[in-house]
Amino acid sequence: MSFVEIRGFGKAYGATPVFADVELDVAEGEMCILLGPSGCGKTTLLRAVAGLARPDRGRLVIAGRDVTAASPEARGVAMVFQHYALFPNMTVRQNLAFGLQQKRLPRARIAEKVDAALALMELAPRADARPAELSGGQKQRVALARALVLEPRLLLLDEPLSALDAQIRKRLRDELKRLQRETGFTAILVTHDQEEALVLGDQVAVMNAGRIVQAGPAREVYDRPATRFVAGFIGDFNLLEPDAVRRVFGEQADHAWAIHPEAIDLLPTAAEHGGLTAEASVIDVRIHGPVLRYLVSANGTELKVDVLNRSSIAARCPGDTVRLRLDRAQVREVA
Amino acid sequence: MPRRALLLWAAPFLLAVLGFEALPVLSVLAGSFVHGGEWSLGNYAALLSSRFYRGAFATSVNVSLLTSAIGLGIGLPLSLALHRRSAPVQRRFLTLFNVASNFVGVPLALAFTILAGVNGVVTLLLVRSGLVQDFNIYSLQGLMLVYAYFQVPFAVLVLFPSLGALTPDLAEQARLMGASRLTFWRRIGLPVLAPSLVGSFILLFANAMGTYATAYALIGGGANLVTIRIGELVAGDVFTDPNLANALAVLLVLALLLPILVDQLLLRRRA
Amino acid sequence: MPEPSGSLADRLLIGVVSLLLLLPVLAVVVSALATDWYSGLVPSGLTLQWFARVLAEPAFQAALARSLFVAAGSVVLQVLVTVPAILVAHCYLPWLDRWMERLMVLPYALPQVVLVVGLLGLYAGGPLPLTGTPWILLLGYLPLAFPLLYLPMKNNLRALRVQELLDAGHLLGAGDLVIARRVILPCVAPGLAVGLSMVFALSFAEFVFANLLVGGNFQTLAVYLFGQRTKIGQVTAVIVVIYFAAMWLSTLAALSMLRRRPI
Repeated sequence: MSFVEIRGFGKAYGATPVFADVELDVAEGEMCILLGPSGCGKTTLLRAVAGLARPDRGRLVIAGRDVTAASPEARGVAMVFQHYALFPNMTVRQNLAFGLQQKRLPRARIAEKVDAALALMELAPRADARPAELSGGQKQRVALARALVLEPRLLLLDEPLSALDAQIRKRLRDELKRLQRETGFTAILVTHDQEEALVLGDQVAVMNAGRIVQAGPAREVYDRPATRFVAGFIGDFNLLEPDAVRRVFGEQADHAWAIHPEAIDLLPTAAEHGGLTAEASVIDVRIHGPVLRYLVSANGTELKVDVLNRSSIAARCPGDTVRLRLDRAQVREVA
Repeated sequence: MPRRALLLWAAPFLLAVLGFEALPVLSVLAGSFVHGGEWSLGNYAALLSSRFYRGAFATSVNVSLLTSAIGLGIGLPLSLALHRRSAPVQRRFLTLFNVASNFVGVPLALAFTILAGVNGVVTLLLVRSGLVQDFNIYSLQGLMLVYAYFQVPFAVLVLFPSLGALTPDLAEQARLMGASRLTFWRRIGLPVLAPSLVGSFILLFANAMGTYATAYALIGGGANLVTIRIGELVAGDVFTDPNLANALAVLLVLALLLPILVDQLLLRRRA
Repeated sequence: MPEPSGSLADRLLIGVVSLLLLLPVLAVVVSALATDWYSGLVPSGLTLQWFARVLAEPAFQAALARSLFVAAGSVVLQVLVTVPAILVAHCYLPWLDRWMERLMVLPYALPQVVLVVGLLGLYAGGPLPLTGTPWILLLGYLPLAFPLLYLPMKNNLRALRVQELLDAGHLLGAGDLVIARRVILPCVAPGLAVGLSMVFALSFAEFVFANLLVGGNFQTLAVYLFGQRTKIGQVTAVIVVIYFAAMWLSTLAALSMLRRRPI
């Protein structure tokens, strides 16, 4: 039995389903990512887990207790909202203490816990600041601290990093991972950012149009996308329809092929080779830091090819003719 | 919270609006069709055929149009000037204008009596300097001067927020594209502001049309304004006719509501 | 705007208009302090005797007390009746909120004198004879002053993500009422203070309802002032000054509350 079990969750607004037939298991201490495009129902699903939205059907078990009908505060969950939802009239310390006060903890216990949370999140110097005086990253850390100080059985995060700019987002992402490693909390995080999902997720559940289309370890979801949608959303896949497969590699395929750009090797035309090969010409080269992204055309089909950006490898220029090589085992067939 | 409990929180307010805003309006509307104890259009016929009441409408509309034009004429450049100042300066003067636009009614009339009455310092200055032969604050011209006193700051208050739509980059962009200041105002500035100018004018017009206390305190029953006539018909010393007052009130509201509704309709169509 | 801030022309325009706006106020203040100011450009001397005389007048004291009662009562009534309605509408009942927004135009479309006609028709006799009593003022000012409260409160409320705050509260174990009391009300306090000070000022100074609906039966300061308008200039000036001092003080009180809460 899993720590969090979602069974047959479904919800509709009138005739429009928001999510349906959702089954999800989260193990204790695991960070589960709900990944999907905006409007796919992932935030509403998260709110249903929190008890802020009522599912029309289904069952929810957290830590062995059926909480399907429980009120939000009785579920032992805490949530970090996209726009922080900090109480603007309270200082950082007061924000952190608020939930503990609702639990009627003794004053000294509250102070102790708040101080610990402030220290954990390195917020002690800003303890008496009001939210308006904080930077975006600080606000997000306060929101996280306010959730963690309650020692929730399950932490819910709704696009917690999306309102931040790129650099702070990366730093906070790493900090979140570190925190989870250190304190071992169980969490469900909603995001539309595939990189964030892969970096943070022990488990990634990809959602589309209200359904979970694939759930599994991050590596597995990345390597073996179950559907065309997952392939398109999670990796920067090359998606080849059967007739394109025939034209490029001369192979017979029943389904479309999904190929990671980094799975294709670029070789000189004369090189020895095994596996699938094709002749192609370079259209464009872009430097993405550690990798070079080539755009090549093979028999009228454009392909993306990623090569490690090492100085030992001579860069190819647009117009060059190259040979593509692909290991058949790297190909995912998707329906 | 259940919906019924929520409505309970709002119920006293809804009752107050019903009892002291909605029902009175309905009472006015219904009463306007009662003439001589039976349902008829007699009140309206009496009003529309009366030179006296038509004159009251003409005077009210004239005074209101003129003072609204004065209000916008001074208020727009004033708002623009204020818009170019720093935020603290803006706040300070907006507070002043807020106070001034609320300085209405009896105290305003008395202040002007002191300032520009028969023995007022302004009257004396004007007469002694030979600029005017004789200045009478208790006339329509005097009344308009007093109206202008609250119309100008009121215009700034309603116009100023909409100036935010004229961001500096609009003017800079226009200049970079070779537009002169005049061209900028003709092609961009005024068109951008046009809806709020029209909306502000309508509010100013309504503000003046509905004014009762200031005029009553300054000139009394002698001013032939619609509001004064209405007050007289319900609480006059000479004679009262509540149903005629109802009909006059309905006509006044129509005159105010019509431009507001047309404006809103136009705005919605544009949006 | 095209040019850098504060050109000479701008300053001049703002300065001149402001001066003109201050002129009547100045005239009232000087007149209230003048020994006599009948036919000169400046008064012949300054004195506080007019203040002493007006303040000692029992009719004035009674009128002031009545106006303070109406203004304070109006504020209390707004807090009890309108504030919960605005909060509930903003947080849960969007249809009511849209409706309230429409009420904002009413002061312009419905002159007070029109409402007077309707109120007289309904409450001059019949089962609920309220005219001639202060109650018609307290109740009549409720919808009349509503926009003064709604606008500044809405400005504060719009800046809050109320739904998220309520949700966050639920997860922290606090019900809607707790969040309303501990978070939302403190956050709208500035708007509330501004709104209530305007409600106070309106109810304190209002003349049309007070004169036409109640008149001599419960003479408020505005009606008393109107009755004194033919008296010597200094007496009316003193009353106007006191009248303004009261409104000014209430506004100042509200503004200082606003400054204490930098949100």
